[in-house]
Amino acid sequence: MIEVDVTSPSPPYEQIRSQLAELIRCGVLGVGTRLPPVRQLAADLGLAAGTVARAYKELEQAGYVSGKRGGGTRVLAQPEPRAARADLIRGHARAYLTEVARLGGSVEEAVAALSEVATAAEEVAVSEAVAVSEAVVSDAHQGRASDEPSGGRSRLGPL
Amino acid sequence: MAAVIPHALAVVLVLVAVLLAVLMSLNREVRVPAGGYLPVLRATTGRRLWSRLAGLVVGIAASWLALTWDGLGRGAMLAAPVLGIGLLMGTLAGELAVPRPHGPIRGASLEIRRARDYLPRFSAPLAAALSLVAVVLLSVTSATASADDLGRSGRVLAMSSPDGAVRSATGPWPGWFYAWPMLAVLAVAFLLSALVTHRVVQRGRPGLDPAARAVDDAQRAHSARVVTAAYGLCVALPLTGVAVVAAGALFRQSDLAGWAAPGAFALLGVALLAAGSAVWYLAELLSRPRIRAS
Repeated sequence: MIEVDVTSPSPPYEQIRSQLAELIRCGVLGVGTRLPPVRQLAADLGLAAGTVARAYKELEQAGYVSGKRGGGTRVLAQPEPRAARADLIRGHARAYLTEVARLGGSVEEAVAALSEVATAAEEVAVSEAVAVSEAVVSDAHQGRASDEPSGGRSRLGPL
Repeated sequence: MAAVIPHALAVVLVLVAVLLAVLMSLNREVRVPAGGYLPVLRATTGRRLWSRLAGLVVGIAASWLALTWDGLGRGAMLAAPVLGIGLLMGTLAGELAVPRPHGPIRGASLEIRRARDYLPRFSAPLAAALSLVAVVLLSVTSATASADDLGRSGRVLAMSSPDGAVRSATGPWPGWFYAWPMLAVLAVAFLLSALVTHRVVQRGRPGLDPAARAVDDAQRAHSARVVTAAYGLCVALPLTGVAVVAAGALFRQSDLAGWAAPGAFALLGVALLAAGSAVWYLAELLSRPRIRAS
């Protein structure tokens, strides 16, 4: 997943390039993974196709991907993706600590806030998983009960 | 009386299609996670529906004009494909009306969307098979057709008895006279279907919200189903007519060639398959899956 902030001073193609480069360096996008077609990614981001094409071209020049006509754009092998991932995580942690220090916070406060956020995120993930499994179990019990309105679900109408 | 039977049959088939559409609508339900900005998607759903209806109205008007264009059966043959093309144009207009992602922060996943992710698994191969049958049938009938008594080439089937003593010509026969307009209209319908499908697959996502993405996927699948059904009708209905007319001509010539009667029965089989497909596609067009948040 990538995000582009069109109000940022960094141009959109550079945001796309840097995020994709990061994902490739970390090994999130493995060797041979195909990137979405230029026009599709441009449409999803509401940008011009040339913007995405420029980002892809720069990634190709930097040795992250290779583009072949008809074969799409594929990720090339990168040296030590795990080490790069650890480096990037450390870099983000350093940036976070710098931000906390700028606000006058201590390292302990930063770690406490982080674990609080992590616990909350975990709880949300668990409750979502429970809701999904309950829905599956309820469907299995009710069979075709999906046609009838039931508690916790709302009908949105036809397509 | 003879003219009433096809009309009665058509009414029965339409009623069957409506019944099938109701059953399909009851059984097709798309589950999406609750939340997200679904009202926006509801608005685009309405826009798409109105565009399709506008295309349908234009298609009905154009098919009426096509019906009155030619008194030799070509108008009746082209009426359904012209109606289908109107519907495809309406669908394209609806897809083009979907707003681009906007706002200061825009997200996209790195998925690769393909047409086969959205095209219906049964209807699309069926439409391809019917197209192939139509092209092969029209090629064979064109190759075997002769000019009629007014010199119009590819309008009748002329045959001689094995000893050459008797020669007989019967028509109408779907030779080149009928084949070229039908193939031309089918080519237009196919290209338009490919264009709309490309637009359905490639248009932008409404964001990264899971509920909005699920509804968006359901809308794309429904649009792809409408495109397939419209194209399927473009092929299936005229193919039914062509096969019935060709079978009739072969039955009339069965005294002159032993293979004519079996050939005619084979063509009636094709007509039956095409008519059944047309009913299926009409039901697909009329059905609308429901979205339910859970």
